Amino acid sequence: MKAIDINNIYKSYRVKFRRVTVLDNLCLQIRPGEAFGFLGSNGAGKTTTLKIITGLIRPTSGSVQIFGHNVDSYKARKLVSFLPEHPLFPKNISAGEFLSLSANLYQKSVSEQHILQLLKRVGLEDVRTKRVETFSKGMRQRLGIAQALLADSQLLLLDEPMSGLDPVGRKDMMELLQELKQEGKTIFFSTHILNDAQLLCDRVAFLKKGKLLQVYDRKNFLKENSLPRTVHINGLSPEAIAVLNTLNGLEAKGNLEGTCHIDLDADTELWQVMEMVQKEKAQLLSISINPRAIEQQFA
Amino acid sequence: MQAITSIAKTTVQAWVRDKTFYSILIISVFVVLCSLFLKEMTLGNRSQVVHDLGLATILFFGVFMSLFTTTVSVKDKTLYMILTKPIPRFYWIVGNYAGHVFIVLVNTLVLAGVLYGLSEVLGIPWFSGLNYAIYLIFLELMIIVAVSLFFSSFMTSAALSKFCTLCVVVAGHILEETKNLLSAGAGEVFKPVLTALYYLLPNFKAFDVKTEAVHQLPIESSHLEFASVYGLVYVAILIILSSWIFARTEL
Repeated sequence: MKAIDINNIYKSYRVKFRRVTVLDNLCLQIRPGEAFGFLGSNGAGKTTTLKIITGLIRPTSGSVQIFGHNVDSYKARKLVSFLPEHPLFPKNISAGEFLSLSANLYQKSVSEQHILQLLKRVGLEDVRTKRVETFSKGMRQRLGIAQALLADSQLLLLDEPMSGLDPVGRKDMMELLQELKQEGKTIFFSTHILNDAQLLCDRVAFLKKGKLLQVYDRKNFLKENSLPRTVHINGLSPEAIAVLNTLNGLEAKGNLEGTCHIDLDADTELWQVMEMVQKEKAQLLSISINPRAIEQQFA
Repeated sequence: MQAITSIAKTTVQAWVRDKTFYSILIISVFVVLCSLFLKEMTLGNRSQVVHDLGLATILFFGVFMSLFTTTVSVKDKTLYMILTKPIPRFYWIVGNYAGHVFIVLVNTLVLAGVLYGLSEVLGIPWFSGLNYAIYLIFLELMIIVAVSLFFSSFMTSAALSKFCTLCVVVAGHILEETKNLLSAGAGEVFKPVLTALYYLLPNFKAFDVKTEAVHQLPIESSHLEFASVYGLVYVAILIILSSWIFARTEL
């Protein structure tokens, strides 16, 4: 049984006098327990897909099943938690009250103690009684995750969960998602940040203008989309730099301060550089991904 | 049922914690108290002035409160956090309606209490007709909340929803005049439209017994029964319609 089974979804809207196609015969199957990244540039149709899976909108044609149940059914809804890109909560509500409300909507009886534990897990125990409108984006996202934990949903649908978060917020969110993945939850999240997908996902799909371009598993995704990297190392000897320059697809340049700048192309094995760093007892300063390459994925 | 109660509770909490709610309440209490000074400037009977102004204030600020608190739009993204849960959409309509009616009820009761207190202080007798008038005002407000929720169930703009509700409120108060026009033979061209509107829109004259209450005229129990049934049936139809539309609305 598939966690999500999307069959020939077609969605179009009428804009003034013409029809605009948002999703064009989308077919996708998500396995239980996997983390699936749904990648695409802005306007590709990612949010529309998520809205269809959550039942907020209906497809023009096609069908969606969640763990074998029709997407509109009570059984399907009970298995799903959704976190929108910009989560907005009811007015003048506190974090604790929102979780109580969520528990009632999921028809679960939870104690105050349990709510406190959940808030502690997402790092919001100190702001339990504070109104949610005073929360930062990261705090709101974590509260959204807390409601998923409360419902113990098998499937988490996350729309751009990392967008607008500061580095600490991104790290916290990634750790939470990793934990949930280890607990066996199915995670389906949309993003346009490849790095997030690489860190978390077992499989990814690329969507462009409503059409599914390709689905990769993690191994193929990393292989086919291995990106040119720039490595900064401190303390490499000129001899070591010369040795590195003999390797295929690699260009190492040292400077007077003893810092070495190495450009690796997609085919170069990073471990060869790392071995040299270890051998020379040099210091690895940074590894960065060429941002132009990321843009090329959506081109 | 637990889910509906929770939605209603959240709706009430949202407004009870809002400064706007208290601002409206304080202003309306102040207006009721203004009748203390108005009585000095009018030639009429003191009790009539106090009660007339009091009932008019309860209705006016009740309508204001209904319009101000109820109208949301289907584009309100807070709905995403509620409607993606395993609940049918009509739960949101019913819960929201119950919550808003409770807010309006509190507003009505506070103002009625102030009016009663004022009557006691001034030594003006409190007639049973006034209780009936307040009850019918509350029924009218229940309909207005339902109308507002009906427009909110499909309109993408909260402002437009407010405007349409206000139009219904105004039209509902002049329906009797429209009927009189029809019977007088005026406006033959618009007769089918006006007839349709007469039966479609809520007739708020059915809930207006302010004159009888203030002048201590008898209010027929049959009139109260008719108004109660009419009001509750109208509300039920609107809630069913709103739920039906909202279940099909794309969010």
